[in-house]
Amino acid sequence: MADTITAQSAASPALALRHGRNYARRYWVFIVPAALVVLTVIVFPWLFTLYMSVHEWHIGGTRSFAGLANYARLFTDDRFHWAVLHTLYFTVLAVVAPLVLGVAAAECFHRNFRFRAVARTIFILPMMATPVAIALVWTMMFHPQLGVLNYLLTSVGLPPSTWVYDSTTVIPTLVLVETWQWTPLVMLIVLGGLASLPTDPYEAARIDGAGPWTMFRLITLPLVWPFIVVALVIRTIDALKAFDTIFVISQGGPGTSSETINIFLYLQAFAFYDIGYASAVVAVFFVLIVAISLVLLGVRQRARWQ
Amino acid sequence: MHKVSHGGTLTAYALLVAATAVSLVPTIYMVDISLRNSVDSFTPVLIAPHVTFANWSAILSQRNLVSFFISSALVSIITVVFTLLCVIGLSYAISRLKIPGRQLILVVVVSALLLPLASLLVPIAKLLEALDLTNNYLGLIGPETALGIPFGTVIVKAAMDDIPEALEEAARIDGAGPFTILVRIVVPLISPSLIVVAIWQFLYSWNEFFLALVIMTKDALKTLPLAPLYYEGPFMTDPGRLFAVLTLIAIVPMLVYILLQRWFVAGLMEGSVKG
Repeated sequence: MADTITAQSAASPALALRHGRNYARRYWVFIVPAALVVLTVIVFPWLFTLYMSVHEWHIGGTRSFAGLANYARLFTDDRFHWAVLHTLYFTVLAVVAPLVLGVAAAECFHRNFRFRAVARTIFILPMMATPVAIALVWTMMFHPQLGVLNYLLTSVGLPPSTWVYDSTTVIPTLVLVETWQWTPLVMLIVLGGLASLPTDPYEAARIDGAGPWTMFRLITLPLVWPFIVVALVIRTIDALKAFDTIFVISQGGPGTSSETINIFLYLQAFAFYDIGYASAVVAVFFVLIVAISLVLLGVRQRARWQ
Repeated sequence: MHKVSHGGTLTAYALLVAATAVSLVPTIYMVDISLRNSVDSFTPVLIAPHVTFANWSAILSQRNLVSFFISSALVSIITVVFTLLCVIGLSYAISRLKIPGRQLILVVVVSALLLPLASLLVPIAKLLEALDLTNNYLGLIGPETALGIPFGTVIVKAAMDDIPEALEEAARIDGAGPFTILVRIVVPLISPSLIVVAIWQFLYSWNEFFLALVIMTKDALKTLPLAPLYYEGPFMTDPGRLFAVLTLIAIVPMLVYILLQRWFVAGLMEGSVKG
């Protein structure tokens, strides 16, 4: 990325010279629609959130300047600390599971077999499912007595699970839904990577008598690593931001045992009407997401240098 | 590429069949419950023995569901068009015209990818209230367009970066302005990535729930993902109708994907190669 940017900057003075200042000014026309929408609906609300976060502000109540009081409160709020831990726990699982399964699926789909196109179409289908609708379907499936999942488990001789109805199983269960929906995206990204690999190393390895697992570990994995890292970055950001399915399936419960930061701030704003505090949570949450993303982008840069 | 032994392929095939079957379970279950009669609806099996279309004829005869459907279609299609216009213009200015300050613009736009919508719900709702855009399609189209711009710009800008300078140069010598070059040369060349962005944005817009929940309070304007709220009451008494509604909601993005998958899958894989 860095080298393309330098190449662009090098080209731009020549361009400006050739066309003169007036011509350059006309370029702005192209960004007006995007700028207008982004400034109104993303930048302004974000700045307004910062403004609200330093105020004592309740919906329908009074507001007064509060300095950093809302931020200070975050340090002593146990419920918030648990929300952070739940978010990290959920995120790690909801990144690792789709990555492992997605890479395995990509490796399978990379081979030629009959009905590959049909199988791939069906495999990707969950990614298209409306989260709110499918979350209700899962809720029904998770029901301990009436749901189909315990029926399927017991019919193959496995013990039934408590799914989202117990504080110890609720987060792994929510991860199951997330994995079901987003493994296809990882698969597609890695499949794109596999398709771009050279064939020679495999020919050489086969002549040397390497088995499929050795070839995967020593040739495929290092070569597609940059693609896996792209999937890792996308999955991490999405998992941190996960909201719809958690909200519909568990609402953060039982108790607060699956309350992620996103659910926590939503409840602060829309159940307790404490907008000032919710805004402080948003600010801290955003810093957390940016920090994690920067670390991952560092990993990605290193993956590219290799 | 045939790179593994026959045994490996067979194992892979078996694993895939299993994984694909498992991934289909929720969809089959959803469709099946929508086709069950009220006696069967609580039987904990994947596929019930009796099939009835009573739930479907009941929900399809309700006028508000039809209006939800039309609202969803309108909002999604207009959002896709607006997003494409914004993304094409912005990417062109950054990638080809090299406007000053493009790095800063790119950083601001891409960092918006990190913002969870839930966290902007309060200020966006307040803003739309101030602009008198609640209970207005524009109140959904505007924010959905804005939230689609970051992803779209990443994809489309990467595609535009690959266009050789010489193509533009030739057109410029022939006296073509930046707008003509964009429409005649750039857009046709990047159409695969535009299809990816269009499908992605359609899915996002069609599936959007919370913004619609906050913004749309008038029945006539509600979008389809809000419809289950009307059927949730009997969730644990008669799920058949609810699941017919859920199937109706989920079937549209699935059909769109099945019809357009050739371009979507190819475009997404190509995009991942460029990173």
